[in-house]
Amino acid sequence: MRLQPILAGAVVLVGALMAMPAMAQKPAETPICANCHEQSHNSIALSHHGAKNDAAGTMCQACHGDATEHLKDPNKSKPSKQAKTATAAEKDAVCMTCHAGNRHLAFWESGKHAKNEVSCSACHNIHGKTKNLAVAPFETTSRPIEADTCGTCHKQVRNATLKPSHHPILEGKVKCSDCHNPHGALTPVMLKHETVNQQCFSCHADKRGPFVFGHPPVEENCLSCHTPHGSAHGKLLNEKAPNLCQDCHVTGRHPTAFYGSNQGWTNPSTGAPNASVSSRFIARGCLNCHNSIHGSNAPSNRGKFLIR
Amino acid sequence: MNKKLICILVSNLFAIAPAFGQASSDFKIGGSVGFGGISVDDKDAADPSKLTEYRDLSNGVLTNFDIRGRGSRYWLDAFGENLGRDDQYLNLRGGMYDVFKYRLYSDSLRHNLMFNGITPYAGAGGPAQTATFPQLDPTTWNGIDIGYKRRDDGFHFEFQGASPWYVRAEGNQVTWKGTKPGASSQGTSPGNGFVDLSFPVEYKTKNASIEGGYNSKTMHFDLSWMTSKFENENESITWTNGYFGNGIDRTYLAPDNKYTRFAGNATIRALPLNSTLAARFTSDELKSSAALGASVLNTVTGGFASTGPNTDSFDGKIRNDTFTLALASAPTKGLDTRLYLNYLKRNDDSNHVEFNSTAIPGPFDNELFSYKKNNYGFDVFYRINRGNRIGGGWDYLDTKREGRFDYDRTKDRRWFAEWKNSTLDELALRLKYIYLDRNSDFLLGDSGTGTGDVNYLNRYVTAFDLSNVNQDQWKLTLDYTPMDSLDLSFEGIIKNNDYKDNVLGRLKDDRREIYVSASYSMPAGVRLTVFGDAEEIKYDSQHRIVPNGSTATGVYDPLSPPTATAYNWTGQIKDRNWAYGIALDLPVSDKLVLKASAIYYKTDGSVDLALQEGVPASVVRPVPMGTWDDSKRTSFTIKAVYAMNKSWSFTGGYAYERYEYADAQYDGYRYTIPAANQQNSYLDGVYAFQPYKANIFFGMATYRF
Repeated sequence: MRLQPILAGAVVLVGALMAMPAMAQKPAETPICANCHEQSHNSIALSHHGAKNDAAGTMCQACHGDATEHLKDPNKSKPSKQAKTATAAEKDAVCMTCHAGNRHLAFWESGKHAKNEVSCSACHNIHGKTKNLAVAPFETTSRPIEADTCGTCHKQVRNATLKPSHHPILEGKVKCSDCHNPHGALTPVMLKHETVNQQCFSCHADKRGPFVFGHPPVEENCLSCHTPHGSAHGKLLNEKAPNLCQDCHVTGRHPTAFYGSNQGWTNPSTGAPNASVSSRFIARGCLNCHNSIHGSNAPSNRGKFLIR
Repeated sequence: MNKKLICILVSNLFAIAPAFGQASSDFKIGGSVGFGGISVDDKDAADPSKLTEYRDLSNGVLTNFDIRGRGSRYWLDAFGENLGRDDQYLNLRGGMYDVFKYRLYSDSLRHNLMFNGITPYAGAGGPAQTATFPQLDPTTWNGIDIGYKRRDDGFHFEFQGASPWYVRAEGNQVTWKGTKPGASSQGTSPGNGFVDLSFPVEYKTKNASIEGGYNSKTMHFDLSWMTSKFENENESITWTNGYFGNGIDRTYLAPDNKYTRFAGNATIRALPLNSTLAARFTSDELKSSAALGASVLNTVTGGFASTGPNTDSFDGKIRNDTFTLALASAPTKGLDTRLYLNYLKRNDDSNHVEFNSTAIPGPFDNELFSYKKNNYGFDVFYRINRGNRIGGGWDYLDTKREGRFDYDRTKDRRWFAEWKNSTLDELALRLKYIYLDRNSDFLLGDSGTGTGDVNYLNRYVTAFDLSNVNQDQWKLTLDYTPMDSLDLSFEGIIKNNDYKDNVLGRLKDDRREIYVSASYSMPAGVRLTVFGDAEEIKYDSQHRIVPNGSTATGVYDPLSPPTATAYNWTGQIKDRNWAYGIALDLPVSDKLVLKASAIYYKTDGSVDLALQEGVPASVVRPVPMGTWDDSKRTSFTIKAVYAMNKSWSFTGGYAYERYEYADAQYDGYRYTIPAANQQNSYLDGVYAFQPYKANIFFGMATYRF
């Protein structure tokens, strides 16, 4: 399958679709609500909501409720739906009036956010209200970082993305919603795929196998060894080798031995180069030899022990 | 391809622009275009790859554009940044309201893993890596960088014009090009030394899917089919093995694979008791195939030995079937419930492979790993009054496995309770407790005929991923908003895993974390956020050293008294992490805003090792590790944004980053470990020289329209 021509074709098709009926555009109208609520109108003018608005403020009233009485005497009565006093479910119901037919929201009611009273407006900043400032290192992207929004509640997860080993989340290359469906899913932690491994394999396709020689804990749950949001240890590992490997591999000869600083490059007491460096301890530890830890197609004992 | 893609996207924008022009009064277009540059000084870093791990910090031009168009019927968003750089991002989205929508994108990433390394190999990173060993003088070696570029090009198109019916197509291609770190033992025992290698990364993953469905306020259902094909240009590489007489050895890399999935989703809303029923099924298949190696390099003079495979090829095939059902209800005001069940069946239908030969006696069989998971449970939440909500739930997971020698079944019972309080308008509290009890069927409990039988030790092979465990987890969240412009928050987590029946391996792990933050925001004015985080993670384990080949009573029993050759030792790994930071937006005048951010992140690991009480003094004591992935990252950014007028703004800034790293596995690093009998080890420097210090200057002029 050659994707490049398909992609180019899709671009041309989209261009044609866009160009053809543009003449049929209707004039955009400024809603009556903008006479008083100019800032609110401006904040949505270049959004989907604003584009579909009309002189009567239909889109304004779709969310804020019937404003007939309010328009007669703005000081006497407010529109029927008030965001400040509404519960999360009431706020969500307003959004679902139009968006229930969105395929992304198919499992909204079953999702953790709905169950935990997280309203749509907790994440979607409809009128561009000033948000809390996120603390972030220098990045080359100017795009809003999704984790800053999710991190409003999931603070420790957002903090984990600052650890030395992390997915490129703050760099803008991986979004929370690449793995999770914030709009509801039937899976644990609202993963987009059915299982943790299927989720990881959707990007890390080289780890899928099937290999001649597998590693069962790897085949069942990547999270036995890795933590997804950030780690002090390389490759997003929970622990580093040899500790992590030795937590399961307690028989045989070298897996049972202890490895300490006296087996490193430097003699801990003298600081001089160590004459008895252990190749099982230094650098990547067990992975110096067992490098095919996710599975191997090598024959015989090379594959069985995941060393080639 | 980069240039081609930019041309296609930009020309598409120009192509459609006149069309919008025909109805210019109808279609509002706004946006910005930015042009600037970046200069980075990292000359003091031996290996600045960590600095540029996921971002292109090379000196050069920075660009971006952000265009939004809205009409009463059509919309368009076009965004691009870092054009021509390794972290380029292009995104074009648009559509006709309620009729169709589309997206085209290209997202590039550079993952640098080592700069300025050295290797004895010629052709490092390629399919054939050659050298003549011994080569113990690194000054004669070749230079090497390790890293790869990843680019994801894709699209989706969704047609909703026949609402409530819709159809959606998606496709993308992910291309990886470069190298990644690898290694291999030289013999089959670690005593024969090892070599660092650089594996080629030339992957392509092509994904395509189509989905059709029905969407209304009361009902949703869809069916979808997707295929994903992974191609690796190098399913194996060859390399010179100095221990095996400079013979040509082979390492096997990821095989090509093909994944297909058929799925269906359904939701029915507005059922009795204000219920929503949701269901989902998936059926997928993953296939790969590989020719099996009939011989391997196996002698110190470079000779090969037969591996004796029972078949010529491996035909890997794994099938997963899943089914999920969930009923969410709100039968009365304040009551919220959910009942659910999940079923998963994984069948490993790969062919049986066995290697056995006179030269390399086995048998070495592949273990086909299959399992079934049955999971069901419920959640209930009840709002007692406006300020208090309580919740609880129970979850049961029964997993049956085939293909694991240690466990064939686990039963996980989990329940949780939580309390949310918002009695005070300005204070929200949430306290949650989760308890997990996992019971496992251990298959090796009767191994061995006695404590002098080597198989007796198998009674203690209780891998923590499936062994019996009790887990306690507490989470407390406090959000305090004393005034509209000020948010204070606290989050605390305690998580303890007690592998209660384990004698060897991991015994328990604990995690404690506290996070506090304060944010102050004035509308269109000063914004300030400070945060602090402290985390400690501990892993406790016990292990046993046994003499090779012994049949003495008690040797394989970790509960027996220690001797000079058979004894237990314990390890306690501690990871302590601290972070704090501040960010400030400060409007100096109507036109000038200063933005600053500073973060300090410290990781401090250690490993304490101790021998069992009573181990004779003749046994060499282990020395604890004081540095265990210890790092300090300091980052500081300040920039000024000057809005000259409505059209033009200018940004100039400076960023400083410093990364310090110390680790017992790399402190005092050398490129070789000389040994007798051709058993030298050769390293290339990967991960060894991570510290860096960088000064980054950047600026950009932005035109808004």
